[in-house]
Amino acid sequence: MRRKLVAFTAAVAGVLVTAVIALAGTNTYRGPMYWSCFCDGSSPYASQWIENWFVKSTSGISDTMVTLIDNTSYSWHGTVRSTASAQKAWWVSSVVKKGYCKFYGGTAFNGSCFVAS
Amino acid sequence: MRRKRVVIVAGAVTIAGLALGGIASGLHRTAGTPSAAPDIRSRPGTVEQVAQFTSENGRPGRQVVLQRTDDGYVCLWDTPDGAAEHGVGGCNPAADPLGGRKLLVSLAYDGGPALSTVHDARLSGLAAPDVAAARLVMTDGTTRSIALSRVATRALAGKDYRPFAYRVRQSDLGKGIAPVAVLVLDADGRVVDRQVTGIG
Repeated sequence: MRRKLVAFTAAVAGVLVTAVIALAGTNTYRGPMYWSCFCDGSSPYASQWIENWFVKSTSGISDTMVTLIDNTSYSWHGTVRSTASAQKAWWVSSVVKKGYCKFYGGTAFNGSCFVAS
Repeated sequence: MRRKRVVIVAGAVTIAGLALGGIASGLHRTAGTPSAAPDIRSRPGTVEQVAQFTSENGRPGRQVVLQRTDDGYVCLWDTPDGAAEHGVGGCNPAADPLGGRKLLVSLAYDGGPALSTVHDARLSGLAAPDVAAARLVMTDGTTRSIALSRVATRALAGKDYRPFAYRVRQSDLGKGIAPVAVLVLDADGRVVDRQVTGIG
């Protein structure tokens, strides 16, 4: 009985380790929250980010934008603006950068912004 | 006593493992959280080119691809090479790819946020099957015609939407003229939807 329990625990621990590894390459920097303000958010600066996502509970009615901003010229890269339910900015570069997301207008929603490597 | 401790630890590890494993694998999905992000890994037969940006004035050509994801999204990507993973754009639930509207449009650009530093701005999107024409409204009040394609999209998106790709003229950007809205019109020339957009 005890041996089976230990084996099962080891298997579940393996799943946990895999899950932690899968989640380690992302940073949720704004939300999950109710976006009732026309506000924005920024991730920490890091060189490994290549994707910046805005995931929303609405589609077609909330006008938002995601981009990646470098820390030298502060220029925007791979920017995209739309009302889509999920948006992705993408920019591959070794420079240090941050994710930035903004809600311009339309209907409030539940949403999150996160960067991924 | 020791056995009780083993059972408690095993239980805690099991709950944490299943919860984290579920989140990582997308089983526990809550709208508006990262767990609801589409799985955009490309698989054969799930991604098709529907429009393109031709190369011009040093700006390379790009492909606009439509993707149907395994987890129930229809996505439209503006990509350098046709790979959804390398695209900028967005996704809506496959049950309603236009999100209850007559158009889905993404404005993508590099440079900015000051208009004078934007060096490539592009609009890509889908219009409803009954849309006859599309126009881009600029900050000076003038309009630009956007060509709509008749590429079949039914297999991936459920209906034959009208994809489009429009590259903003560098001469417009150079004069400080930028996009502010996209209009779509029916066969009688009536505006049936309007999507606000803009740079910065």
